[in-house]
Amino acid sequence: MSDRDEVQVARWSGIKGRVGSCLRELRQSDAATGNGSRSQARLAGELEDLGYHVTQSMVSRYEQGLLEAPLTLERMVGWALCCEALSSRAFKDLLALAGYYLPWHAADLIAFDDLLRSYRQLSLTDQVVVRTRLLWHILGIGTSQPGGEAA
Amino acid sequence: MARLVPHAETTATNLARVLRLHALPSTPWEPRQRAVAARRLLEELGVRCDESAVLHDLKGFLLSSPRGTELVVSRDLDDEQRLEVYAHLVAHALLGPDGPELALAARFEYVPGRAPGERPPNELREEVLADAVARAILAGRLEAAPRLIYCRDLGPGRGRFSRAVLRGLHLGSLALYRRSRSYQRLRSLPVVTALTERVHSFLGSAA
Repeated sequence: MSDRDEVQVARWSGIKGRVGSCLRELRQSDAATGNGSRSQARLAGELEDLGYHVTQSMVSRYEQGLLEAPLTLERMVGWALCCEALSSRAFKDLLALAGYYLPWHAADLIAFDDLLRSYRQLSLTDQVVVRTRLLWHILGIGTSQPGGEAA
Repeated sequence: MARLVPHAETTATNLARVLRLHALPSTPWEPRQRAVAARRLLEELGVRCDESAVLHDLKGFLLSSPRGTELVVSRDLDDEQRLEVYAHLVAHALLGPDGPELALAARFEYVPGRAPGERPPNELREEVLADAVARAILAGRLEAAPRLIYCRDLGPGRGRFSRAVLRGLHLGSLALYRRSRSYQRLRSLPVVTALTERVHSFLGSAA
């Protein structure tokens, strides 16, 4: 393992428990929105649609903070976008927890909540298309590239 | 300044101009050519266009961030419908958020009958206004909409008084346009458009 990888793994070890519980809370809080808790299998399928290979078992182990392989920023954002319970504040907090600063001000947070509200009212087909584009805009990921990022 | 599309005012003006040119009796263009010309113009002005998306509830949508602006349009639309979506989303960009640039902004164009039942009043108001502005763009006559929608700079004016009168007239016109469909129709009549242009030229030009 290179020094750089060691640092990355050490850093992930320090936050994986908190990130995992935050992601689990986002997934399970779907029940609060009236749509029932999003199953781990469904989430894994939706991440697959985004081009990220995350199995149901990996979802489970990430949520428990058991996986040693760091969850990339791209997958974390993808995961969050799949969850009905996501809000701008929760999103900002999640990324802050993972060490990424989202330079959004109050107006941005309000606009993002409005966007999430409209987006959740779309059909699943449309949500997948919008979600893929949103990923690009939030992270600068090319729409044709996320498959190459898969583990 | 609207930020949903970079240089939204220039984009709308040029889109209307292209559509006007392509509607001239001497050079009648097919819908396909008009749609291609519109897309080419938008891309030249820095807007990415994707016409291959598989969408169900949406005819298209606009996403904008510091990483750029993109218009995503359903692949099931014909050329006329695609053109309408472009015009409508550019109209939204003209009407979109003033103030500081947002980190992320979006506008959705719904298939008729598939829009969500409950939409915020401000969204519905913008939708009605965007309809009218999009019609003006598609007709190649952006001037059929109140000037403050597509040009915030009213010019130097003949003096402080005439500048104030001019601003008052334009603000009044814009307020009426926002509230009244009848005024929208009236404002789009060529004779009314010509009259407002003359009044603006008289009061807005430098002494």
